[in-house]
Amino acid sequence: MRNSKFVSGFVPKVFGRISDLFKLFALVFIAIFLQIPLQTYHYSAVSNTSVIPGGEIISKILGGVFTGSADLLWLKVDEYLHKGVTERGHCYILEEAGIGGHTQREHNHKEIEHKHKLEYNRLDKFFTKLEYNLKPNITEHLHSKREDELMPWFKLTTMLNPRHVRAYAVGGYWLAFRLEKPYEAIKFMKEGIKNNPDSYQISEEMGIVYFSKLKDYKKAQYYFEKALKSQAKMDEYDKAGILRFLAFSYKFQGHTQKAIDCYKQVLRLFPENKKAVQIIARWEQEQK
Amino acid sequence: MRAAWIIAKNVIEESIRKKEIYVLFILSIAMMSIIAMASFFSLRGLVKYFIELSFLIVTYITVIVAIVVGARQVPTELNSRTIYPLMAKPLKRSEFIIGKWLGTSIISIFCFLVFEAIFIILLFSKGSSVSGILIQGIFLHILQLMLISSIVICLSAFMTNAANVTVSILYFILGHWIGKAISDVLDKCGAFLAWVLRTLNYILPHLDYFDLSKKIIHQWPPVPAWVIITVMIYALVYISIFLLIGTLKFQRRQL
Amino acid sequence: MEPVIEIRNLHAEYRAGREKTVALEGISLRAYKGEIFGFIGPNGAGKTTTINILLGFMYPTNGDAVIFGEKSSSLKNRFRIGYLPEIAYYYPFLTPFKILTMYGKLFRIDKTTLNNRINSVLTTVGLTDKENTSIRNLSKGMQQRLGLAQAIINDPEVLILDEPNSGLDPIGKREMRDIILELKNRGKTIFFSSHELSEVELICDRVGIIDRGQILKTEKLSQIVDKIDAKRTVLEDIFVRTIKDKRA
Repeated sequence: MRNSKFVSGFVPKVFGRISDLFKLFALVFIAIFLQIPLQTYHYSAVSNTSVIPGGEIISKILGGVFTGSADLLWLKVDEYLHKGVTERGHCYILEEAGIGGHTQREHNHKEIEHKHKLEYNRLDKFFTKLEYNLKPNITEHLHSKREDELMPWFKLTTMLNPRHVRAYAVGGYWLAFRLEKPYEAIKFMKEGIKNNPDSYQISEEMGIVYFSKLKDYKKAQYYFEKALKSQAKMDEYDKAGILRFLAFSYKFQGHTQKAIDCYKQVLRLFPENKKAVQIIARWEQEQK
Repeated sequence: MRAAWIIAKNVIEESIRKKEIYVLFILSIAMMSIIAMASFFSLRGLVKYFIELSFLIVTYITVIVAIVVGARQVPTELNSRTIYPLMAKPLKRSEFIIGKWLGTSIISIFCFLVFEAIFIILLFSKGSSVSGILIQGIFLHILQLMLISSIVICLSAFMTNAANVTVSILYFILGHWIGKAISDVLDKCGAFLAWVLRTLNYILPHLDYFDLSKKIIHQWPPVPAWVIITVMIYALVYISIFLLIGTLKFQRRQL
Repeated sequence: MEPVIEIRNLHAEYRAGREKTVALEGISLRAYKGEIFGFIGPNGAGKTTTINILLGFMYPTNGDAVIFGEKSSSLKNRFRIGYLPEIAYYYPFLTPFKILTMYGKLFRIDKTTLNNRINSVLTTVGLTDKENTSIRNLSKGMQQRLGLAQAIINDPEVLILDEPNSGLDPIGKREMRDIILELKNRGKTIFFSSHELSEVELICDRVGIIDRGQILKTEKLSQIVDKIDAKRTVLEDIFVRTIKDKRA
């Protein structure tokens, strides 16, 4: 009997037995599910020192897998938002092939140009048309109630990677503003702050929810101030945005001077900002 | 063909008696049930994530069944010497290969249909229903299982069990990305390499043609009939090619 | 008389990478209808290779092997041949009844005839009370009997037996011998290889001796074994002498 020695030489012997494969599969399965409670405990705000050694080891061994998987799940949010279309640049190829593209009416994102050197012979065109029909091909955003279908992916992303700040921040926005569930948003983002105490994005989003949805300006103020105190690197636009919201939080609580001071900080960041000048002038006028 | 059917029945009987399939049954039912019962932010009626994750589980598990069952057919017969009394009977080598393929396909399709039935029950429990695109997706996945079985049986005439399982699983994963991967690289390489890649693009079977999961999840309308017929012909052509290669290799083999 | 089995100038080689092993070097022999032909030789002589070529498991590098005038690998021949392998296993998850049913269906025997024949062969080999026992639970001797049962399920005209007594106890060997003689009486041709020269001597009509891929002798047994006065030269003596002479 002749065996394919070249190929089989590369296969570890452990895979030679089906029962070993199943044992390995079962172990990985258990490790994955153990990771979730272990990581949660690891990042517990109550007891930062109570790290289970096992969780640390599993995290070190499989950490990369979880982070990568979380990123894949994060991509699902975008996919679900666009009704399954993942390559919107692909629409240009379809136009070149004479098949059709997507409608611009739903889509306001800047498309990535995708140049191809494929010559569209009849066979290529046929298979391109086949693929076009087999995959979601026209971009269409999810609307209103159907947007709730995005939410599991936010949750699953943060379960696999509690350090995924964007998932918490964007998920919080979606819950509060698109699905009209501000309290669920707050609960979700509080978890995010617990796992990412240095994140200003989540604190900012919390503040916005309290400000816009719940009209709780005191709590909004608390979170905007927390965001500004963050050690994380913040660009000027983000800082200016937080300062603006903080200013209005102060204003609606009657602390006009504090509001003016916030806007003056905005002006220091963006001296050409005419709106800031107008608002400061108006508020100073009201104070007189 | 009668002889091939006898071989197929033997494959089915052997698979039913092995415990692997029951372990996979329990695993997949457990996973689908956990996914179905999961709650996110007190939102009700969430169904897409369930369809996506369940379809993923069902797809991968049934493909694993096809690969694991198919990969061991020829090597096990040779190693255990059960092939000698068998091939002394009026059984062509081509009928032997076709019978092994048929048995592997049937057992993996049977597993798939059982998992799908459970999936549909859970789908109904979530307030959703069976759509035309789902039926099409089921049909295409059945074709995919038949194609994968033919690849595995073909490879089993060349390789050991372990090597076959590894190569088949790798191809299953990569086979969904051939078209995209090649087209992405095509405009970055020279003329000769581009020619090689284009030839590979045409030769290697594209498994993504059998994957309607994205359209099912996002509730797209059914695809046109010509698409399904084309994919079916595509599958049958490749199945024939792989079985022919496997038969030719096995026919020349000294037992 | 036309031979039932004819091997003409058969050459066979095994290749493992660059290494080439010559298994058969131009062997020729014939077996005629209704005779028991004993094919004997030391280990590695080429007996199993010859049988494998006869059954189409292997392809010769030169020469040919025909059965009933057709190429040995012909599908038509398989309907008329029964084969008992030297070392064979049967699907452990099946029972004797199921495996005989499976093999019988390959011979396209109709259901009623098949059921009757299964009962008959199981009785012949003494496995009637084990017909529904899993093969994995059968002893080596019982599996050997099952092997014979599957070899005769199609009532073949030619039986090719490779070490038929392997794994059998003395009673089993005796029963095997009786079955073979019974089949001969029914006009079957039996071609078998064996190390047990005493058994070969008891039942064979003709004998072929092979060593290192070459046929050394093909003769009627009566011509080989002499009775000289009170001292009887046995087959074993002839066999050992023939091999030693060749190797000297």
